[in-house]
Amino acid sequence: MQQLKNFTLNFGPQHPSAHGVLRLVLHLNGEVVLRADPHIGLLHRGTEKLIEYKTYQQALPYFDRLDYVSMMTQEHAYVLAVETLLKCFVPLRAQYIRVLFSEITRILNHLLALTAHAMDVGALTPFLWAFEEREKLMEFYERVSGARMHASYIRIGGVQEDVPLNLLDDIYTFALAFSSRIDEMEELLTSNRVWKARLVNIGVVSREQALNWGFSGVMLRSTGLPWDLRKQYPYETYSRLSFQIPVGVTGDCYDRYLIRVEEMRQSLFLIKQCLDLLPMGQIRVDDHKITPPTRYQLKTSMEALIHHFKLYSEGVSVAKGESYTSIEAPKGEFGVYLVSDGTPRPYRCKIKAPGLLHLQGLDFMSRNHLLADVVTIIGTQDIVFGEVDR
Amino acid sequence: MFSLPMLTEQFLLKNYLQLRQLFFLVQAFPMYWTHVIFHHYVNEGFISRKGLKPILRLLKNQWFFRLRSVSELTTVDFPSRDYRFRLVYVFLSYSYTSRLLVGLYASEQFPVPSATEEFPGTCWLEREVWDMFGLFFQNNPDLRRLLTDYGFRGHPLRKDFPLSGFYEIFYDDRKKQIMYAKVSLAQELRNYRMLNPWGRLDATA
Repeated sequence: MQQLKNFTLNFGPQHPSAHGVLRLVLHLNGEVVLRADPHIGLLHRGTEKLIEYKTYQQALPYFDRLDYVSMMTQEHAYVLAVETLLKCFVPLRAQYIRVLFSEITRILNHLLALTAHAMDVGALTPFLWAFEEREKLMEFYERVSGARMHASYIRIGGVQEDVPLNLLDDIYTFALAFSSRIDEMEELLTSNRVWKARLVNIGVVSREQALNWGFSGVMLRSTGLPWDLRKQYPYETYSRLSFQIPVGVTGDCYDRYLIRVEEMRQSLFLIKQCLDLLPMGQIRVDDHKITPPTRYQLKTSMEALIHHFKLYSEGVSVAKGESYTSIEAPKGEFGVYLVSDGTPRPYRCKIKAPGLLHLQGLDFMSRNHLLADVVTIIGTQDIVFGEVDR
Repeated sequence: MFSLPMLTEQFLLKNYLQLRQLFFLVQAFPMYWTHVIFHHYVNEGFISRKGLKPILRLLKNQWFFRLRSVSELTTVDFPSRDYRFRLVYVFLSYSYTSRLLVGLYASEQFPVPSATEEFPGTCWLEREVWDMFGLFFQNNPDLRRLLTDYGFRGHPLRKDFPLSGFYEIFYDDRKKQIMYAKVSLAQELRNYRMLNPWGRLDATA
């Protein structure tokens, strides 16, 4: 008798639609995927180990570099975790600035997620359009922090600097114009025959599966569960702002596309509300055991100088304890589990990346799909290897 | 102008629910609990390894918990203790909007039963713990290394594993291939401890 064996295909790690360095071992029957075995860790940098050797402030920039398309939301998660342990309450203005930039980041991420997805499926144009818009958003990042991407703007106890003059005006101008940019993208994709043929009923996730496999964010909402940590566990000022949670019906890739588009619109709405409500006041906690004094104070007060020196050499001493803090990052629930032993360095910092659990689900999502659909599913999961591999 | 997000009515209500849940658990399985910690933001119960299976099943299915997914599973290493690994499960309930942390202590000699039967999503999380700490999970269907290199030896997140590691990898241009070699640092790793001996800045004191 003839022995039949399934074809095993190695996909990646250097493949343009693997969204980074994903190595997939695919077991194929003809062109139908029987099993997908993701091999990850090619971008593993040992962030968690490195953080154990840094003070709490020094650990912050690592978070920008995890998911390098939604930088500030991750700083936000880390900073919230440290603040939970410190039991410090941030001034309202700083909270609004954080929310403002979290939502800018959400748009930044979804623009890349959607259009890179479109490019994987074959539509190159929206990608080029989106990068023009992303450039504008990164300019806002740059104006507020000096860096286009890795901002480290959200600091323990507040934010690094107050927003510069005219920035809020420019964000408002952007927000006015941006909704028609979304319309343009939707005109090209939403009712596009090819786009729908590639996305509708592909990678269907049931509610049961999503819960069992620990999915979060858009992946979970596409199954119809209105679960958004901004609503369920409102951190910062989200309880004062009004926004809606889009949910899906069938849980397929097309639903997730529609949800991401709608989330961009909701983010825009939130940005406008933040601009309206942004109060005057401090941008940092007025406690120099936690936040550094201003430059002026530094040059006039001896005590401020000592505080500054101790903050940047010894660091912030955080009380013994542990906390798990999570936020709604654009990709899902991004959590930080911190264990402090009372010294200025974290004893353990575990980063919960939404992408890891989503990628784990790639196997069941891509079963009995065609090889080309695997690319669609990777795209819809919005995988970024910086956070999956850490 | 400060706001106190921690002390809203909603927060207190949720915390109360979590407390009730924890008390219920302790009453249901009194033999399995070692101790319970109440933080101001999260409650954590510690159980013995034997209790893990029945407690997982209860947490997932019982109407009072409905902790339907594990959002995080992680380990903290305390090398000086007999049971050096503290394993922490972060459960999430979508019905009650509550989280529960369940911890237990384990070591290399005393492996932990896998939670993949009840929560298939923990498979990779357990793989990561195995990879990073060398803590073994019984009955995990696919306990390979997850993040480290193929053929990697050691468990890098253990406290006794050096930050620089043991081997480094580089491309040898003459042999035209990737090579492994013992780590050689031109300068020793500088790990300053800036703690002053006569009392520290304590932000929370």
